[in-house]
Amino acid sequence: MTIEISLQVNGVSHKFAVSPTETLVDLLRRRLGLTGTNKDCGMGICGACTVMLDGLPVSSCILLASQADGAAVTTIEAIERDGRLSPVQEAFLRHGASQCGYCTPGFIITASALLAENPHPSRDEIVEALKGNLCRCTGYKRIVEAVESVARQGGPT
Amino acid sequence: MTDCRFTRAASLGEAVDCLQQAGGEAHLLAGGIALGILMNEKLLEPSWLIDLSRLEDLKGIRLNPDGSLRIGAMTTHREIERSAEIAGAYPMLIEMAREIACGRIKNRGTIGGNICLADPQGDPPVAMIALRATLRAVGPSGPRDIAATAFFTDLYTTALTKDELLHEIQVPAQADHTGAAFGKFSARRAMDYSSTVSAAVRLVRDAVSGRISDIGIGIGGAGLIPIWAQATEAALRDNRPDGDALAAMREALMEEIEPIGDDLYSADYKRHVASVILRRTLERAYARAAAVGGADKP
Amino acid sequence: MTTIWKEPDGEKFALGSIEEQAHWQKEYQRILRAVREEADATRPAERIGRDSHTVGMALPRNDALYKVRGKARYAANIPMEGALFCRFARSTEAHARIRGIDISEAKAMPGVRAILTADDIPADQLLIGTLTDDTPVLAKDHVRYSGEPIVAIAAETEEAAEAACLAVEIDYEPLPMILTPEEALAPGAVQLDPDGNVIGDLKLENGDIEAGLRAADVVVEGSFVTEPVDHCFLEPPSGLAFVDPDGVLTVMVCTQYPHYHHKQIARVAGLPMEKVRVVQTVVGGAFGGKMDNTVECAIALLVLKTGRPVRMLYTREEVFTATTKRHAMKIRQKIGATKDGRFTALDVEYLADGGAYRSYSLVVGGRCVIHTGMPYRFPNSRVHYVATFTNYPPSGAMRSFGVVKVAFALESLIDELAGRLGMSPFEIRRINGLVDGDKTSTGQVIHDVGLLKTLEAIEPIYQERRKALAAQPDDGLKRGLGIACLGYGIGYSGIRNPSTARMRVTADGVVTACCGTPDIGTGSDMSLAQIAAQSSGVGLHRVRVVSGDSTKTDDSGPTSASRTTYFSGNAAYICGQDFKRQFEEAVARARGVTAAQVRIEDDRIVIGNERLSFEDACRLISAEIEDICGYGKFDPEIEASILTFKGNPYPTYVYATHLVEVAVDAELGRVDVLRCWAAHDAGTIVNPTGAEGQVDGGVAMGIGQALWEKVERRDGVILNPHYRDYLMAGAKDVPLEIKSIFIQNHDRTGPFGAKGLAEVSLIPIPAAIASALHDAVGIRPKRLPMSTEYLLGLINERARAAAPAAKAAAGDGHD
Ligand SMILES: Cc1cc2nc3c(=O)[nH]c(=O)nc-3n(C[C@H](O)[C@H](O)[C@H](O)COP(=O)(O)OP(=O)(O)OC[C@H]3O[C@@H](n4cnc5c(N)ncnc54)[C@H](O)[C@@H]3O)c2cc1C
Ligand code: FES
Ligand code: FES
Repeated sequence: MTIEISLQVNGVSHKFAVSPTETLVDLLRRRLGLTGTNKDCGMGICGACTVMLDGLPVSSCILLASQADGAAVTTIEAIERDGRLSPVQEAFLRHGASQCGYCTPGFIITASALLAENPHPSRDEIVEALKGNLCRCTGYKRIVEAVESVARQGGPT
Repeated sequence: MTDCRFTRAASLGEAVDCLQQAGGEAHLLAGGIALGILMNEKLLEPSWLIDLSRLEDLKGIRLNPDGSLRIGAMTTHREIERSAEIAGAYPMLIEMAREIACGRIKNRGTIGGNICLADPQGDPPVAMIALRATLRAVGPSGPRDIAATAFFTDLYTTALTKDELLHEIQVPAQADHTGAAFGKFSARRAMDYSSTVSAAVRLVRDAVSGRISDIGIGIGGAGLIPIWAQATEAALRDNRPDGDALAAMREALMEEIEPIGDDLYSADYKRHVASVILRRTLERAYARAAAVGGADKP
Repeated sequence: MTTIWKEPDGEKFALGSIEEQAHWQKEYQRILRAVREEADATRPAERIGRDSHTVGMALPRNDALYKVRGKARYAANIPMEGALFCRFARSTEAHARIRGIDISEAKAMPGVRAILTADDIPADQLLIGTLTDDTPVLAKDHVRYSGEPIVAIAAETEEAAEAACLAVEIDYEPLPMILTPEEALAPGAVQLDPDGNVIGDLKLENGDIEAGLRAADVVVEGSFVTEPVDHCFLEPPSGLAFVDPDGVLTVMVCTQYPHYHHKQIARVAGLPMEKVRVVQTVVGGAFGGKMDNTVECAIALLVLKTGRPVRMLYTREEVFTATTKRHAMKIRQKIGATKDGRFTALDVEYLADGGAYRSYSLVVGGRCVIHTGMPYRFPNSRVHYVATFTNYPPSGAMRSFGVVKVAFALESLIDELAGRLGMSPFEIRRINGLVDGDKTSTGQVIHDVGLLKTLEAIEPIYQERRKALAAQPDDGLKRGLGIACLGYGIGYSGIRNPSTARMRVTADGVVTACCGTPDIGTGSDMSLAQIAAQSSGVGLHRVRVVSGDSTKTDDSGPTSASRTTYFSGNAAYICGQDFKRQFEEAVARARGVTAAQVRIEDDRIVIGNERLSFEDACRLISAEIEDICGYGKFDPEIEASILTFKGNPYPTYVYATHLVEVAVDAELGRVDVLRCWAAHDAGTIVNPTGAEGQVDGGVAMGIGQALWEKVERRDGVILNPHYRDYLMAGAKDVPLEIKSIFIQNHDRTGPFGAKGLAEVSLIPIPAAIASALHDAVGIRPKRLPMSTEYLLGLINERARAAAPAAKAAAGDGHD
């Protein structure tokens, strides 16, 4: 069977007929072409597929689209504003926090959600928030430093 | 690919009805994390999914006037970790929630889904055993209360019947001079889930003698199910946690746990870890009990 | 034939067309300017952002712009209408004869468009490989590991292809399995390869080992065991293939080496070279794991079979079960030294598990042999390396080509030796460390050796931390410090591996540098742009690097062996000089002056007293601007015998000393790495941001490999094909205090003095951790990974050994 769901994705309302077992990451990538959300493990472990669901980071690879009915989804594509990078994005660029970049959207979503909730997190709070996202290239240091630099400015995220 | 039905239950009654109709072939969808993984791994092709997300009845945390706590099955780990009520009355649960995976998982994963999954590595089950929580199920013939200590019956198996679901968790009020702690061992500092050992301890410390007058212990990752360490509790009860009692505790624990060797660790190593983690957690709980005081506190 | 892909103009494909990116390039330039202004207040404001002299500046990478926006073109993210999906039906047996393959049911499944088996490929085109063509694109009648592809199916959806693969019936006749090199070498063992079970048997000898051992006052020895490791690049292998409007079979894929696939695909498909093109997509990490064929040949053949575009994306489980791994290795090693700490002898035997096919086993072997004993003087040495086949996935290249294990064994024993001699770990290394003019084990005389400087940089930090640890209040944890060094040759071992570059300019002043080696996520395009800009004198902002396209660049080898900065950097340097000369000559002709009167200088053209902007100069020479093509080829003389290894295997070497600080929970065997200092002699650092990023990442990978990472195998099966049980370091597992120290050392042969860096930062970490563990709790770990259980065992063993001694001491009446 298929079920009707409505989703707000990056501020735009959509209706979809989905199979009950279709995952959110597949819906975003295949139906909306929002390929900024990468997929790797499919088991909730790596964080490459992280999106915000009603403002909170979640693994979109193990979230059924049917469960997200009525929710607002934010993907990496909606983090930049008016043709400018968001402070988190700019900080990642400046600090060299993105190398191969495959993990980057997941980290930026996670960090942006953290800063929206807590604009001035301590270093420990930043590490705690990022501890579940894997990165094979950077060794995390520059990612943490990038987020820290935004936390110090405390500007909008 | 088999076709899958999907029901977004609008009431507890509807959810139970669906379960009954499905005759054991339906899967309740809480956070969907465990189910999502099973589906991605092709280990599960559900024929009927019953989504619990709209059941307000299953949500929310309430601290009752008598000091007892009610947690709806659909409460997320995040909600527990950030609950002011829980922080005040049951700090051990906060400590436990901190140990679970990471924010992304806690934002979706529910305590009900976690307990009903009955993963032997799960953190909430052992906490609930130590706290002597009651798990309230709902089925066709109404509610049924099951003690957390009797809930986990076999690997990934609970005392729920096919047509029951978990409604809420009730944690009794804590006596004066109670201290509780949660401890976990994992190779890395986060995200380990398949080979961890955990201990939850709740104890009441006699203000005068310093003896442990009441105690609850749950051990995770040390057998097929989250373990209620009954004999270990007995070894400590009416004792102070020192010398002989600790030796007796260790001995009892070794009898009660049955860790399974895996790719990371041998069963023997897990035994050792369980005893160390239990001792450290016990020490923390005992120290806290002294700090919190009770009726005699100034 | 459908194709909707249009070639983006003038810029590296992966980043999109210039037009598409025009706005964001401005945004990037704004940020670049801001970074420059912060870094250097003395620069005239109007020149900032137009500099050509940027080598040595910490600059943000251009490609990161696309990555932070979620716009990077990984293969799976490239849209293509009408593309089919490919999946493999893989062997479920580790070693078997294939009696029959029944595809009839799969063929009838909905959505299935084509099924490919080895029978569809002419026998002389079936085998591919990196050094030797020994690996079938699809297994024919013999499977050598569980996970080996046997059937490739293209269907309308991924799900349909997957379902059809499950419907393929394969009839196996199981054969005895070979699970270890020892089994492979045993008399009467079943033969896995037509040429036997030995992949390589390599030897290198110097001096007289027996005499060296006799001359030693102290000899230490040990047997070391290391487990296979996965690269864990986050992007699983993925690719997209189609025929372009000119009839060229185009394969877009995440790879370290597009030209390799180009050749292989042409051969396998039976097409002339000019009918094939391989374009590198953005690569989501590689670390040596994207140099072998994975999806490439299958999707190419399926495009030819179906006439439709075909894409493929491995699952994470496939990455673990069917891509190359780091070799499991056993090392037996012995070193001898005199009382005053001079090394006299080094005797080493390696036994490596090469897996089912050759892949890079010989390269790994050669590098291990040459690097045995590096970076020290051993007057007498004997090295023997054997790699065999087994029935596990092929072992291949991975960051450092095995040298991390060589260093683990050697540096651990040196630490032990220093202890036995009562010498500091610095002193023993200073006495024996290579210096300018020394000869390596291959007889190469080396220059610009910065090893001792890296030791000097670390020693005061070590002393300071020693004091700090002594003053540390007791928290139940045992702390320790450990150091380890490395010397690492840049580039291929002992064979010439040239790199080339070309530079052109458009009339509106956009400079394109086509460089041979692709950027695999390390930021090499950025470094090459900096080198090309500085060499030619044009502003960095106008240089766009094109790399990773097999039809736009010459085959310059893979991005591996830390060779890109040095080899391609040198090519870019030479090319920049050539471009500059041609450009100046063109301006001179246009102005009717001599070439000597014209200079490009910091993005402006100086003609006598006159200054032209670069754009104006381009307009001035617009008539002949298309003829300008700077060319650079860097091809240093490298030669070493593959039999004796004597000769000059590498043009230059990098050196490092690392220091780590650990805290040990001795009751559980649990280790935390708290701090790390990494001093490198990598020559001039082209882009410190990029270089430090490489070091941080290498340290994290090194910690993972030291403590947790292990591909768990049993009876021909990989038991932990997922991140749940394969544990790599997360943000809480690595020190955020990683301090990179780059010592000043100008390499006379490198571009602006640079050597390279990428792989090396990983190499000393496991050894340094092992030494720190000895410092903390007195144990000498000899296994990787050093699991908590293993470490606890060593700690307990030591306590037991110490117990009788302690008792005896107590009995003496010393209470
Ligand atoms: C990477 C990762 C790391 C993790 N680490 C930890 C950890 O450290 N500690 C830990 O404790 N957990 C951990 N978990 C588990 C996680 O916390 C979730 O709690 C767990 O996956 C199940 O929660 P869920 O709400 O998603 O349940 P679901 O997947 O929705 O359901 C799980 C099972 O319970 C059943 N079920 C759900 N709700 C009910 C109900 N009300 N009544 C009856 N049956 C019900 C479902 O049918 C299903 O069988 C981890 C998970 C992941 C993916
Ligand atoms: S792909 Fe979703 S967490 Fe890894
Ligand atoms: S930048 Fe490559 S995985 Fe994080």
